[in-house]
Amino acid sequence: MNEKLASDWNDLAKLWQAEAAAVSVDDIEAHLERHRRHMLLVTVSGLASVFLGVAAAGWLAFVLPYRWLGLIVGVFVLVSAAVLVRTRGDPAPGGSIDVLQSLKESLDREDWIAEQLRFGRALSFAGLFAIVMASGSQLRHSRLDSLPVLTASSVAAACVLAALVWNVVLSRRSRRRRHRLEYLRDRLKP
Amino acid sequence: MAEADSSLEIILRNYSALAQRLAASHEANPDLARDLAQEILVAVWRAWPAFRQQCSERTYVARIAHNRIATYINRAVRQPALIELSEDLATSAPTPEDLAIRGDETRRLMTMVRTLPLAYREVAILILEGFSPAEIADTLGLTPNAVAIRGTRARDLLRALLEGRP
Repeated sequence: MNEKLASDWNDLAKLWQAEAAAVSVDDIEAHLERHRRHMLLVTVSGLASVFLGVAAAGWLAFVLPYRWLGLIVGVFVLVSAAVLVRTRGDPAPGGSIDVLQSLKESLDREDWIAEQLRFGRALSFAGLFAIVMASGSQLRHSRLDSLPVLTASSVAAACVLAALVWNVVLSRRSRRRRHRLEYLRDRLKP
Repeated sequence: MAEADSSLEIILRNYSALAQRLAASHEANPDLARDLAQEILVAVWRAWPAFRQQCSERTYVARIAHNRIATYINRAVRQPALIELSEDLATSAPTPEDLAIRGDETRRLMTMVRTLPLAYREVAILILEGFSPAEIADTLGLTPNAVAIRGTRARDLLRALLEGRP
């Protein structure tokens, strides 16, 4: 930086640094408490979703005589929960890497998340296919009334569709985050 | 625990002003900027035990702050209006006359900095914070030459904004 440039900046820097508000320990503790509450809410809603899915699977398998549907929904819910748990987690930004490197790592992470979500979507479609096939088979071979079979199949399909809708929402968010990260990287890199 | 408390006090004493200015230069909403500054300070506090003198202390803090800001901007996809996207000077920014009436020079400078394109804004903020070109290069991952070029361009843009030139 030449002297003229340094002198231009010095005047602005004095102005810039003139206002220095303080952050207290209480502010930080309140911030951490808000963060803890938010994470608790996220965890509780995740657990509630898994519980509802498992309850639906149990209802299908043990209350209604459709073990095959219960099994499909149960396996689907548990595998989806495992994928979600694996995908979650916000890696803390470190001070050992520069901003461009950090952006590159974030982009790699977004790619990994997109991969997990693709797997989740494939799993949902496989689940729906299995439900349709199993229901069709049951309707063809059962001499019983078809309404309970259709009701049970609808409940199972609703569980899988709910997960599929959530997957699509997360995929859209992931794509937007990736786009934003690319934008930041492209603006910053030389 | 006492050690963690004492490191938090050191961080707050030395870097809370830096965190607040960095946050405010990326987030126009004062409440959100305060929250972002707190998030930056928490991130610095958590990363503090990993500091091994691999760079200067303030470079370490600035890297964490910028990485956290990048994450924040990345998350704030629903609020694109808060982030300047244009490579040109923002036409919707308050005019210099409006800002002069407000009479708050520091806030005026902050508003001007926020309207800078991202590539120049990041460099300008660190120069205003008193970082050397080498430290800025180290923080952002740029070459010192790129920092010098962007610094010159940022100064010209800021000067034009402050003087009310288009």
